[in-house]
Amino acid sequence: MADNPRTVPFLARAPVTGETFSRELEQLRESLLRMAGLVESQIDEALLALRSFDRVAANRVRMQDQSINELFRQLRERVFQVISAQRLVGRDLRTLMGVQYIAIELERIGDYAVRIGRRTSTLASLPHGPLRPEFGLMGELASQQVRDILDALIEEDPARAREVAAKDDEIDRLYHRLFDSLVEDFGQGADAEDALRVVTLINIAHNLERIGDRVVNVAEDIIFLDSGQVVELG
Amino acid sequence: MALLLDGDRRVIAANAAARAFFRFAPEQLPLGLLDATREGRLLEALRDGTPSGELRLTHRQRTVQMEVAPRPPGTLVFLTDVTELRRLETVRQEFVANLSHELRTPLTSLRLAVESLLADPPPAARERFAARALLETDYLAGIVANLRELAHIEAGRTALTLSRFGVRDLVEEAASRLRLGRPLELSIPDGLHVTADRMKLAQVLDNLLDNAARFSPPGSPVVVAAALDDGEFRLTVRDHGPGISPEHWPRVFERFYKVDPARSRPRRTDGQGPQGARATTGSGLGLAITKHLVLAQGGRVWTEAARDRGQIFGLAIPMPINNAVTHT
Repeated sequence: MADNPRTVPFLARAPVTGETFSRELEQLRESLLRMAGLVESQIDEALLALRSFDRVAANRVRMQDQSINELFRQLRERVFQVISAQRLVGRDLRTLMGVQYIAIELERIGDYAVRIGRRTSTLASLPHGPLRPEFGLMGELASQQVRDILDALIEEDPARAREVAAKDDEIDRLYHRLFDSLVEDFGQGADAEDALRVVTLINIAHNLERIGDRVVNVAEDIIFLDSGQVVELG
Repeated sequence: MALLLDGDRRVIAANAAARAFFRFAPEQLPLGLLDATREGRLLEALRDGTPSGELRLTHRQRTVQMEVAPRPPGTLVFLTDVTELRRLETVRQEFVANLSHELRTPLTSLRLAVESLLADPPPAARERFAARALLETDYLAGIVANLRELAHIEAGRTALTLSRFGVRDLVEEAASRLRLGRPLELSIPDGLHVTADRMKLAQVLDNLLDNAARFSPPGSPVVVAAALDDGEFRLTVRDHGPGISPEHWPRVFERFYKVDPARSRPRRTDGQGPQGARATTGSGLGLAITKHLVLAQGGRVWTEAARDRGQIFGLAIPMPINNAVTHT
């Protein structure tokens, strides 16, 4: 976290086509940050549910996803209206496209949290032992990635976005390790319940890994917003 | 901490505590609530008109008690960080629960042995039951002794006896004392000497090595690394076990805290695992004592995941040790 975040708000540096546009932009920015904040707490909740095999918390994740989806729907509609009403070109258009790209990624991250919640409900209904520590490590990294990318987004800091993206390797590494040991477990499983448990766990690991990938996409979009350059950080 | 919001929920003023907590400067105000705090849940709670309650701030991973007072056209928001309070409550509750559990198991076993003795069994069995009763009594006495010792160290009532000694010798002595049953890999610079409380560090090593051996698969090495770095003596012990999930890391140094209750209290009567360790090991007090023995020397302890599987337990003690050190 920067001790001295930039005082210029995100997106405010875009050339202001007009008073209306800058107001619209400010509102879009707020919706985007709200989405990011909600997604962050979704992941927190999903991981909490997973750690304690808590079906009630897992269900809450699903309920809260509706707010994210609604915000996303409104944001997409607004972006389209602004683009068509103001006939935006150049940098302003790019800014709105960037906002839209990031919103899409955030919405997907929220979906992964929901999927983790669903799989947690499945797990809770099966006989289960303690989770492998790799889940905790991956979860911790994934939620830290989401928190860090929110900082990069608020501070509109492409350098920071790159740093966050670079840390995705660690999640991938853990995912592969986890995948291998779960496949091993699968081979030793005795019945259909064992098989379902292992498949569910692999699915959860996969969703955690996907959160990391989407964070990398957000990092790429932050760079696009800042410079208009399309980069590949993954 | 207090935040004053305008009608659009922008932060227009904040007291020093809030600025320090959320890390913004007064010159930056007014700021949007998310720009200032980065806490999505706080914004949603205010939007929903939640008047007061406890709130988990996900971005900072803290828990706060929130009170909202209308100050038209805006709002005054009071937040109290209760993270530490909640943590201590949990620690206390779990301590009592875990202590009862630790005592109940040997007590049950003791009672069974005594009941069997009362039934007047044949002499051979009598001897076995009596031996069992004695073993459980010793175990209980061990727990009590450790709790007393811990209370002593914690209260700062143990004096430090500093001496200069070779680190490699210390580690090798501990390893041979414990008969680890696992290969020991050392990464300690030749001739590394430190001035510290040798007895206390020996006890720390007993605990850490014993733990590492207990959670390592047979044949996998226990790795001890030590160095003088940045004015500190640092030592780490690494196992090749399944590791510990990070949510437990802040708590593994608590008394009787068990990461996985299913793996509790391996007994030393089965010939498995390290032998000859002090009674602290396996009692749920080893890491708590370790922590306080290191704190007593002005140091700190931590745990982290090893890069590819396994857990690392580390300690760092500033060099030279300030003998007048007080600790909490």
